[in-house]
Amino acid sequence: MTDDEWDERLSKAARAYHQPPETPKEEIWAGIRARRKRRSILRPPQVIWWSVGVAALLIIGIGIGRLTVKPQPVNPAPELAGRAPSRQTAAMAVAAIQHLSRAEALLTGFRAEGKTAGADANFSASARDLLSTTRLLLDSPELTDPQMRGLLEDLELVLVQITQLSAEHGHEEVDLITEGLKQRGLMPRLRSAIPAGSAATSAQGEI
Amino acid sequence: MDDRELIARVLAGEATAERALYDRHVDRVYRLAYRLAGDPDLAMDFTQDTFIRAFDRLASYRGDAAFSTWLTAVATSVALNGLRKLKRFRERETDLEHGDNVVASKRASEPDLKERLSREIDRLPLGYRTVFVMHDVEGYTHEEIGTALGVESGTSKAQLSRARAKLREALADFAGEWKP
Repeated sequence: MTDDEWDERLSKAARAYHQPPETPKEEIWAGIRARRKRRSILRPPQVIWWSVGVAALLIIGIGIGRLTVKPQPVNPAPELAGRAPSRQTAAMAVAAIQHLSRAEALLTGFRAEGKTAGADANFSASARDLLSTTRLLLDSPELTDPQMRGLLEDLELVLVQITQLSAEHGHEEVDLITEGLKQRGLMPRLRSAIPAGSAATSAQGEI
Repeated sequence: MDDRELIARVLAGEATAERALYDRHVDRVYRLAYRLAGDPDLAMDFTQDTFIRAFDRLASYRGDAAFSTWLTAVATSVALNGLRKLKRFRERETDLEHGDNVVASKRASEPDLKERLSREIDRLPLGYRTVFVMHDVEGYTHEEIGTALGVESGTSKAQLSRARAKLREALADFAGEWKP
């Protein structure tokens, strides 16, 4: 028998090798869905990593600010009083702008998702993370702008509501939250507080 | 609707398109996974991993090759990695058991041709086995195999030729049974 004849017979006989049964389509699909869902719950969304970054930046900014602040003289000279806080304010501005951008992204997604947002654990996880950064910003002594404070306080309230969304009453709660967003005009206020692109960079440059 | 349209819809977030794309290709992926793994649970795992990874990376599919070819590349990569891990695990297990059971089972009885062939295919190095299974068993072309494994089609041909030579050598005692 020639090699070619051998190979032909070999190839024919090999078709019985690990003969596959009928594809268990539904079982495989169910597995894919379950694994993707589990993974999306376990893996923190990108927004969380951004928030961690913002929080770290904020802490560093405050730290630098504290280290560079000199003891205040009884009657500070106007230019000295102005210089030290300007660095801290810049750090605060960068942190706040980045934080507000993340918050805006989350709330946009939340509104777009509509009533199903209540069942999505990602939203409450992201909101929880943004909430801690919001509170860090609110507690910062460098937060002197009353408008920014008001915005962060309103944001805090909405984030608290999102973190407390329950699976059973998700629909009504989502309605309440979106209604609240509208009443407080939070989205337009967030958008107007976030300068278009260059501001964050220029503030970073200032630091 | 062709694969490109379906992919565009999947990327736009349409869940039904994802399912349609899956339905269209799952048989081919599962068959290959089963042929390589020889085990229903492993084949199912490999198929799931393939689709999860493919959906994750769908945006990176540039459309240079057919989607089925791209998906086959993902599937072979998943299956080969899985089998290599399994092999390492089994080698560790065999070391622990001093290999006694394996030797005993091999000597059990004189197998028939199909059984022997199956065992000899299993014994082929993974690279040879993959090419042999894809070409001779599942009917892929050398070009498809080359794309899936990231090698030239000439390499695929050479590996197939070596795989067949090894099998001929291992099954020489059966040559008489196959005479016309």
